[in-house]
Amino acid sequence: MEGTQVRYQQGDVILTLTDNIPSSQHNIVDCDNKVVIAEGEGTGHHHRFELDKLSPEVSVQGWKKRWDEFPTMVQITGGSATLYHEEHNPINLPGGVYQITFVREMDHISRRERRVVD
Amino acid sequence: MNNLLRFYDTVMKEKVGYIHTYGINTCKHAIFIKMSNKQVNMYISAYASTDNNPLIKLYDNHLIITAKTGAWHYKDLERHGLMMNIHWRWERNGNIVTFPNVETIPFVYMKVSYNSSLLTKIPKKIQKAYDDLIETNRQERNAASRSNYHNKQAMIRLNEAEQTGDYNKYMRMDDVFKLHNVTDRRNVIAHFGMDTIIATLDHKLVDVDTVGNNYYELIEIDIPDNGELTGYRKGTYLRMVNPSTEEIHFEGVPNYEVPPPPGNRIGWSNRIEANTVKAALAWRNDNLGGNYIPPRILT
Repeated sequence: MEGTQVRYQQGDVILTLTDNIPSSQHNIVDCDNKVVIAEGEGTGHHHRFELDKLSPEVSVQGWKKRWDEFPTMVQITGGSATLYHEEHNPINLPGGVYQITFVREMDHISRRERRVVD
Repeated sequence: MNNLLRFYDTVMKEKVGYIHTYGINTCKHAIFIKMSNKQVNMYISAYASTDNNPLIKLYDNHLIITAKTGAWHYKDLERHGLMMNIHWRWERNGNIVTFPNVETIPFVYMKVSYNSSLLTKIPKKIQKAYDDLIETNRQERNAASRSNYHNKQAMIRLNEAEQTGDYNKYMRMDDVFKLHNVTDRRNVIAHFGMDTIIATLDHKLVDVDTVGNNYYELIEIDIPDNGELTGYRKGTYLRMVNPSTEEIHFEGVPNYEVPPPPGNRIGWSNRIEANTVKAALAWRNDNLGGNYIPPRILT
C-alpha cells in the first residue's frame, strides 16, 4: 500500500497524496493570501502556497487538528498549485488532498531524533 | 555473621522440619527450616512469594551462600545485620562481594566461616571474570574522568568566548563534542555550523547511491567522546546536495546495527535497516520496513 503512494518533497516537507480529509480536521483561514504549511525556526523561511498567484479557478485550503499550529493536510481543488520556499525550487502539485509530514534526522551529539527544519 | 549462627542454634534445638520466621522488613521475611540434624536452610520470602532456592545453607561451623537468587536479597541481609562483614555492591558492570579476606564476583556455593571469611577457593574462571570487571570499571572511570576534565576546560573556553564575543579565538570546533550541556553545545554549533564541524572529522564512506538525479553518500564519522573507552563513538550521516541550491549538507541517521532476534523489538526504531543510502533515506522519510519510496518530485 505504502509503495504505491504518490509523494512530493520540498526540502524537509513531504506531501503524500491521500483520499480524503478525516472529520477530526478543521480548516484554517489563510493569512496574508498565503497558506503556510511549515516555517523555519530562525531563518523565517517557510513552505507556502501563495494564493494571489493561483489561477482564479484554483483554491488551496489548509486543514489541521485543533491543537496544531500549521496544517497537517492540504487540499488543492480546481487545478494545480505551486508550493514555494526560499531555498528550494517551487513544486507544482496537481489537485488533490495531501498529507503533510516532515523529514527527521538523528542528532548524534544529543543522541536524539528530531524533525529536520530548513 | 554471629546473627546467623544464633538462628542456626535456635532452630537446631527443634525437630527436623521446624520453621522459624524472621521479619527483615514489612514485606520481606527470612525463613529458616531445619533440614536435618546438621543443616538449616534459609529462604527469603518477598511480597508473599518464596524463592525455591535457599539463600544460605547453615551448618555448625560454616555456611554456604548459594548465590542462586538475586544479589539484592543478600544486600538486604547485610543491611539488616544478618550478614555482617560481607559487603555486596553493584559497581558499574556487575556485582562484587567483599569478604574480610578476599573480594570476588558472586559465584554459586560460596563456603564461608562464621567469622565471614571465604573458605572456598575462587575458581579460575570466576577470578578472570572478576579481574575483567575491575579492569573494565577502571577504564570506564578513567574515561568518565577524562570526559569531565575536557568538559570543564571547554566550559572555561566557552565562558571566555561568550564574555568577549570572540568564538574563533577561544573555541575549538571539537568543543561541541566535549561539552556536556546541550544548550552550550547548541551555542557552539550555531557559531561554527554543524556541516563545517562534521566536514573536519575523519569519516568512512559506507555507501553511495544516486536516487532520481540526486547523489547521496552514507558516511560514518568517529565522533570524539571522552566518555567512551575508545575515545570515539560512531555516528552515521547522509551527505547530500540540495537539488535547488547545490549546497552540500549532512543529516544524521541512526547507526546500522545487527537486527535484534525475531520477536525482540528493542531498539527497532533507532537503527537503519541496512548500511545503505536507500535504507537511510527510508528512515529519514519514515517509510515502513526500510523501503525507500522516492518522491515524484524532489526540490
